[in-house]
Amino acid sequence: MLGLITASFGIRLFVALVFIFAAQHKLRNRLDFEGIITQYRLTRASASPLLSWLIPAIELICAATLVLAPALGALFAAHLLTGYASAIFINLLRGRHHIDCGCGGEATPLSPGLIGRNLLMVLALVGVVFVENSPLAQATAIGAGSFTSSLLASGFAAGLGALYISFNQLQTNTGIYRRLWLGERVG
Amino acid sequence: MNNFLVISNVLLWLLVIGLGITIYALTRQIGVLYERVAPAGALMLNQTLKVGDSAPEIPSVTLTGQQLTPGQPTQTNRGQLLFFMAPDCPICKSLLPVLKSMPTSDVDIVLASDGDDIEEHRAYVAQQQLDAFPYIVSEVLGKSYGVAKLPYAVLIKPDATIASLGIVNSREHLESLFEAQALGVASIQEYLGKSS
Repeated sequence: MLGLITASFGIRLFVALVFIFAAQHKLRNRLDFEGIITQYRLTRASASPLLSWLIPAIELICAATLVLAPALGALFAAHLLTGYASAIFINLLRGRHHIDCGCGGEATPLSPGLIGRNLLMVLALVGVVFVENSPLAQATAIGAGSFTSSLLASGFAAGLGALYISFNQLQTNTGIYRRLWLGERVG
Repeated sequence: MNNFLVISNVLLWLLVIGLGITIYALTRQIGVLYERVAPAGALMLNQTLKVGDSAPEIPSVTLTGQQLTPGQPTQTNRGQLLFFMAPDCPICKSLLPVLKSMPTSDVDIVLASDGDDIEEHRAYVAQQQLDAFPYIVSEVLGKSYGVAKLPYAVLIKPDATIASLGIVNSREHLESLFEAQALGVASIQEYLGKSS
């Protein structure tokens, strides 16, 4: 059980870090992000400025909740990630795969891989909800806070983080290849 | 025995993190390589037009309501650069500073896009400060010039024949259009083919 709790702590830490990085990137390039929201064509263009503040704010709140209230935070994060996956899915159906996903960093085109990435994270978060809600987790809550356990969880989070950024880089590379070798498609 | 397990575990952890960083560095390198070995000149992929053809004359209206006919011979001895783009194309956006910094002593730059939502284009022009260029929203224009991919550029000579054309993904591609015109070849690819 301690193993599961440690893994759950690691996943929470990892997702919280992903959200913190995503939010700071969005806030630093807020005007670009505004354009990206508009290009998703899910909300009115006039709502984009407000959303460009709101979305990073929600992500930061979510990151804080993940650390402070494990089960609630995991549920919150799972919903947020499902929302992003749906937004990508709708635009893929519309054939608008050339738009920037807004994942941060260089422009990355939309792809089923991004949806898969989000769903994997959602699956892990659902696991976290179950583990954190189990009676044993409540009883061993002290154990989870121990130094060794935190160290292991941090290592796990770092490993997941490395995988995450590598995957994102591969998606970005696809975008670079497409625009340099094939040319961008007309929307 | 227990000590041995702890040591091996710590070492393995270090190895995992190290490998994670290495994998990320490698994927980053792939991206850099894609950029380094990208095609040198504007890609020529056009089923409709070829270099030397006379440019289709398409009477159009710019966003500001001005009449403009791309492909019409000019008396001023100035060429025309038709730059096909769209507000939702990230790479087009990255080329806008290049367009703005281009010397316009002997060429008029015309931006062309399509789509139903005129307001979206107006907002884009305001946001990217493109007021200096005529901006045409016309599907006919793109179709007539055989534009299938964006960003696309067509360089038209003052006598309304096509000097060069192709997909332009970088400053180098855009410059290659002018270079091709100066060298009197259809494309950089043709020039390289000739010289080899």
